[in-house]
Amino acid sequence: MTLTRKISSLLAGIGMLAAASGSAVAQDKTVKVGLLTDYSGVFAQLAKDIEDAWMLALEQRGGKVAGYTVEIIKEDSENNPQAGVQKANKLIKSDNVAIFGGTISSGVGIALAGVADKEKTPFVAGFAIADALTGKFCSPYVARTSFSANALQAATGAYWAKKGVKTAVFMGPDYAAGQAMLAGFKNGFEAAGGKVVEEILTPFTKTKDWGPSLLKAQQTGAEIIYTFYAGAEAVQFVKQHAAFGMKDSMPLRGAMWIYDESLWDAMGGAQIGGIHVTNYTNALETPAAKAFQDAFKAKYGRLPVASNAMGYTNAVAIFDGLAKAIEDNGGNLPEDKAKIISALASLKLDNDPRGPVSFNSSNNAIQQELYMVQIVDGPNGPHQELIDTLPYGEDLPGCKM
Amino acid sequence: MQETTEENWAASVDTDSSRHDPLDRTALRDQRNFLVISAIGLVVLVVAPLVVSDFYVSLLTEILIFGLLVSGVNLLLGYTGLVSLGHAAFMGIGAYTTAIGTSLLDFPVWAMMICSVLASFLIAYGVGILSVRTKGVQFLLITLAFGEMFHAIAEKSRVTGGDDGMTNIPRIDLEFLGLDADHDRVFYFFVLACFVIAMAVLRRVVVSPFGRVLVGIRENEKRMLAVGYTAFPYKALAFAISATLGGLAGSLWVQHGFFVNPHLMTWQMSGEALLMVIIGGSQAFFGPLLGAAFYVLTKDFLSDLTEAYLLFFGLLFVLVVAFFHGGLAGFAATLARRMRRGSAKQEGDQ
Amino acid sequence: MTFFLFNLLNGLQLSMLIFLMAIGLTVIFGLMDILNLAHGAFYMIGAYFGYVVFQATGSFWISLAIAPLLPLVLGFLLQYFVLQPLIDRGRSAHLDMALLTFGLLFFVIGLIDFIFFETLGLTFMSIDKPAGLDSYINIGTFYPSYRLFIIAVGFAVALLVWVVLERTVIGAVVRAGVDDREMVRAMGVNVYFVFAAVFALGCGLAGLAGVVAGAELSIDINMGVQILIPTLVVVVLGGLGSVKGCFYGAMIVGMTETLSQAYVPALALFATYMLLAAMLVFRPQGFFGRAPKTV
Repeated sequence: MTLTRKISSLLAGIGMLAAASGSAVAQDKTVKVGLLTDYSGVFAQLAKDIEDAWMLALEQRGGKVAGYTVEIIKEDSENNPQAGVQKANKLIKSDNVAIFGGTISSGVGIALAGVADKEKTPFVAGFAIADALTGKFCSPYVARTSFSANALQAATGAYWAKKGVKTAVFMGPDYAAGQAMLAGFKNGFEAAGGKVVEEILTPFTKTKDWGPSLLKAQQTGAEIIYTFYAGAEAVQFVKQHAAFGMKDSMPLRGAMWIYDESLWDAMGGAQIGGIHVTNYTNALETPAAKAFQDAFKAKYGRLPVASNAMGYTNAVAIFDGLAKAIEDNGGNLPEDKAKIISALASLKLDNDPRGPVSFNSSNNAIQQELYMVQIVDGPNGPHQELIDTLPYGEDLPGCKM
Repeated sequence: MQETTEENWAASVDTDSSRHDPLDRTALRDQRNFLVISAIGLVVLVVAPLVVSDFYVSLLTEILIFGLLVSGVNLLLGYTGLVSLGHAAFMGIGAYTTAIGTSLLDFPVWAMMICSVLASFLIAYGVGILSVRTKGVQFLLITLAFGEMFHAIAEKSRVTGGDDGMTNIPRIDLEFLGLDADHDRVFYFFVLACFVIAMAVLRRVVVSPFGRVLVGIRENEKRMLAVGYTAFPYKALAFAISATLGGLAGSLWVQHGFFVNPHLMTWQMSGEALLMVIIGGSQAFFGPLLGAAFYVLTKDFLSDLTEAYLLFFGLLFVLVVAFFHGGLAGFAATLARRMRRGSAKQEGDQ
Repeated sequence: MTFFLFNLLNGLQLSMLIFLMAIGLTVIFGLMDILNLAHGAFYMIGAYFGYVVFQATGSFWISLAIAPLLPLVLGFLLQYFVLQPLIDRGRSAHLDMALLTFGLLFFVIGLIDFIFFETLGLTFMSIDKPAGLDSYINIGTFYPSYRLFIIAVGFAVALLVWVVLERTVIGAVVRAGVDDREMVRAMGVNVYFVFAAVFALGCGLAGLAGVVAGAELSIDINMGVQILIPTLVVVVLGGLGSVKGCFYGAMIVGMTETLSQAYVPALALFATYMLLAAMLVFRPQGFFGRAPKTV
């Protein structure tokens, strides 16, 4: 299919003169939506999770929004901003998508925000947690359905301080996301009376041995290690933390990345007992969460994971936002595509599996509360148990639209 | 390396034969071929964006930008025999210079493009002085080391957003021509103009006495030493010139994508540049451009079919190194020569 | 003080892991002049095949014994049927083979990605540590017993390589081959077979390192590229082709990475590269390498 598409787009281009080629007429009652996410690279698994959720959301809408048939065009941003920009260009200029989204990597997300703003085509990040995406680089063409690093981490920091934790060591990779998570956690934790006694940032993707850093953390005698690692680094860090016998003396706390379900097999049991914050868990028993789990299980034969829920919110916001924009415009796709984002940002997603989700003035998602979960071993293997809920945090200021 | 030299009709590197030819016939023929190919190529590059869709204009722009970078890599690899695994860093230096200057300091883009070129030249000259005393594998590793250090600086730098990078970087202001570079076709022609100028300069360099010294060094450093050339300053200068092309490419790249981040500077990126040179043909002047075109287009095509496109490029690369040293350019040259011989033979028969 | 001592242990552990990788690379280079950039691919093949064997048998030890055989055999085939014939046909051992194996590295990564991720849907894998090595022991602080095992394996391999090279006929041939290839050929030794055997052993050791690392780190698509850089640094520091240099080089790199992380984390990202660049600027032949043969 992609092959024919490519050939036809090549043919369509030939003979078309520069002046005429920009304004290809959209086909009758079809709206194209780009799913641009990191199918290859370290986020490959998350990308598949997001795609599965998109397909579920589309199926639930009968493949249509406001009378338009939705055509989804998938592209791989390779966790590489260069590739992301190239593919976004293709979606915008060759496929004429009305909107695109799904992106996971922050670096790719920021690059795409620039493209979306320049090309005046809406972009809705599916994960990309960089504060700047809806801060410094915010735009009427950019929205995000996940959360910002600060919103999640400041809330979690405050939670632990209020639980009576006085001292913490922060450990994470030394790159933008790691620094953002550290700043967010510190904001919340120290404002609520805790103290980050040591910040240990390890070289991103180049660290193989966490021994020296773990020993250094031990030296501080802090009560917990608060951490942000993802993928292979999370696996290695959790295993080595357990191997140094620190699970009891200085337990790990973190967010969903460190104990992501897709890593459990590779962690070989070291994840059991881990406590972390998340914005979705199957332990939720709300009607919306149950409905999502049932629908997901009916379609795929397994329970969803947190990244499926993130993908679901992303897809629902995009589809329903499109539908609203079309309806507001008398049944036609609006010329001014910023209207799609403003329609999306006005949505109240009360039946989101994560709990009610709405959007703030910089088009970033706000959800009602976050969930503290623990990984427990059971007869059917490890699973999450909900141990507490906590209020959602706030975005950093900085958006001037 | 020797056996491919004779295949090299598009390039000017077969100085060995031209040195032995008192009439310099080979050099003349080279010059003629070069002009013919340049003219054909230029016509293609001017007409192509007028007949293809917007997306392919953006791909063509990318091809030209990578063409600059890999032509630089090739000045080292093809003409000097040095393999660099750190060239992406110079593209990054050019890119960051433009990005910082325009986005953080509000300087005009044209001024920052000049700064990018100068910055990459000066920094590369410094690195070159330290690096070119080594060769072969050691050179490969020392350029890797310097490249990764620059990459690490970019990753650590908070003002430029660290690993996230910077976006919303402006394109050059062409208002004095009544044009708006935000239009992709306009920007394409601007990149093409830069490309043509850079290639003309590069051509001057490789056919100059300096270029011949480089080839001499590659073929036989001892002999060059004996006739009074110390290899080292020539190599350092070649290194700097080659990196300058990367710097220009970087400056254009940030304008093309409106953003920059440290991914641009990884050694894998340098490796990809190397892939383009080898596949395109390291001994031909336009081989790298051919390689860049092949790489960008094939990758775009393949990534629709499978995510494991490395599998294909890895294998292709192995096959080219193993069996077809001339790369695509060498292949085209062989084909053209066969055709010419074929038609000459036919004429002879009649 | 104990902080320092335990970091020395950590450094030693990392050094030994890198040493397992680097020893093959350096002997191959010394003997055949080939810089095998695909060495990281053999490390990956060892780890991934180790995972497959572990899944099939459930035993770390069987996996450790069997998995390195695949990279060993593949290494032999590569050298005997691909690289050597190409060198005989006039390809430069030095540069062309570095480029070719570089392409091979990309190819293997693509292939593994295709098989394990695209087809089987596996992203991150791990081999469980065997009973007895999966815990920690109390030596002043809790210290993971598996790390002590890695150190032991490293020393055992170093000793073995030293005995084979210094005390056996094969070793004598190899050493002679490193010094003077033509001489060995003239003595009627089937040099190509020796070359391929050494190449195979180097790849096998890389595979062994892959299995060992597969239990301590994680098995994923980037592991081969990640280990390659420190390995190359070790080989350069020690001097290309020098076994003794390789051992000390591994020590220096392992300790530099560990101690910089412990004491000057801001420099951790740069430390190894600065070491590499400084070495190449001031002493390109490495600590124990000979001065280059030409010019």
